[in-house]
Amino acid sequence: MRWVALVLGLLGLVLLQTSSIPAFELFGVAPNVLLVMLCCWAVVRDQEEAMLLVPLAGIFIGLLSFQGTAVSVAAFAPIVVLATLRSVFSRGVQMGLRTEYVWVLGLVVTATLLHFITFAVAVEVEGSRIDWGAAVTDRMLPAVLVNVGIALALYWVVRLPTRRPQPRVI
Amino acid sequence: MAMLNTRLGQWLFGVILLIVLLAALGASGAVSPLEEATSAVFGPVQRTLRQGAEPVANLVRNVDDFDRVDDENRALRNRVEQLETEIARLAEEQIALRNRETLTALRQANPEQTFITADLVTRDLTGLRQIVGINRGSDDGVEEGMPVLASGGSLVGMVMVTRPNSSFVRLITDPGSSIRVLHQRTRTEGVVKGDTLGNLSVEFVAQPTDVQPGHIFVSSGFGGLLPKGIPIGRVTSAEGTAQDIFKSIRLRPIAPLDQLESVLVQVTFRPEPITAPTEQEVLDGELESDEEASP
Repeated sequence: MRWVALVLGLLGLVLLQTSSIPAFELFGVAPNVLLVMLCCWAVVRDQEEAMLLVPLAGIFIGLLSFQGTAVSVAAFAPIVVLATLRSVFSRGVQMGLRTEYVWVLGLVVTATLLHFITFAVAVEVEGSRIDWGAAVTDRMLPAVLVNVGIALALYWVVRLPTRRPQPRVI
Repeated sequence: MAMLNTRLGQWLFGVILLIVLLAALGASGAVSPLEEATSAVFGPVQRTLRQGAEPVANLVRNVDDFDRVDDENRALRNRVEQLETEIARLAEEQIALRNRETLTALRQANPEQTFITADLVTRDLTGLRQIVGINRGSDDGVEEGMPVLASGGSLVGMVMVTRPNSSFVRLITDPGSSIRVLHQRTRTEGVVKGDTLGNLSVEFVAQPTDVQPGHIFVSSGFGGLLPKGIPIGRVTSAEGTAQDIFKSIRLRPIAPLDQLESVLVQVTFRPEPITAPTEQEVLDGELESDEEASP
């Protein structure tokens, strides 16, 4: 039941991301609420959920927009890899709230950059010429700023309803 | 580290396989039925969501204009009696422009052409491409390459992908867009191209051509990909020195591409690319003309 709810929730978010969210442009770019939500989810919640939701989000986006499913899955996949690195760095010790918050913001920055680069490369491969200088200054950096701004608030939307495991007492 | 070696490793392997599989399916066209089914089911939902968000988005967009609008409003109130008629007329014109009546007017102006109206349902999510999704597809007679116009009749773009109930339109400002055009005053040919930031520029217009800001470029119809004479853009700058071979020309699209809510697809125009004759065709033509010339 939990998985069904998760998939339906994801589908709802994908529909919003492909319809109404692009209407709310900031600094010339549409916020990627889906990517930010997935980043928060991958860090705060169970990683098994992220491992299902991330590729599924790519497939949904690919089917509901003109972007191919393969490119979309590839563009979202780094989220899980980067989120898993967190547990490698923390060596199994539970992170403090502040550290987790910073980790989420860092993940949003990196995931946005990789997401953007993946699509830009796909556009180049497709045969269109990308002006990389303009793409970086006028699209990629504003996208990072906007997504981080959203993550500042969205983190709490995911964090507050999620119970943190109690620290082990030895 | 064990996590990296086991669970993440397996997941990564699975995802890479998935990407390769999806790419192969996409290239073979096997994903198309699924895409079509998805757009048939969720297209109306997307359209409703977009239409619902539009008023709020407009409000947000115009928040920083509030002071200007307020000042303008005061000035208008002071002169309301003298300008009442004028304002009403302008307001009516503005409403008419936004209204679908203009679409009907365009149809009446082009009785031999059939247009269908379509609403925008989605835009490119990365900002790298200038591509929009519309709620009309092959079931409505939309085909790849058909021209898409704004309500006023200026060019918005061309259909690039069709599904039964939806299509994707490459806007004229997309970096992959390239359209053969004519400078309206001098009839000089050029090529309009988009770029990563959604700007328009004209290439291959010879330096001596008299191009000034405000001049208009229209589609040339050369190549058979578009009807001739559709307005495309107004010149914002035209630069170049005597040493340059071509002018550097920037355009502003005539169609309000940032505020599009609905568009017209010219379904009676089917692009028929005109290709250069082959060597054999040229030889055959020469032989025929020789035979005709000989007594």
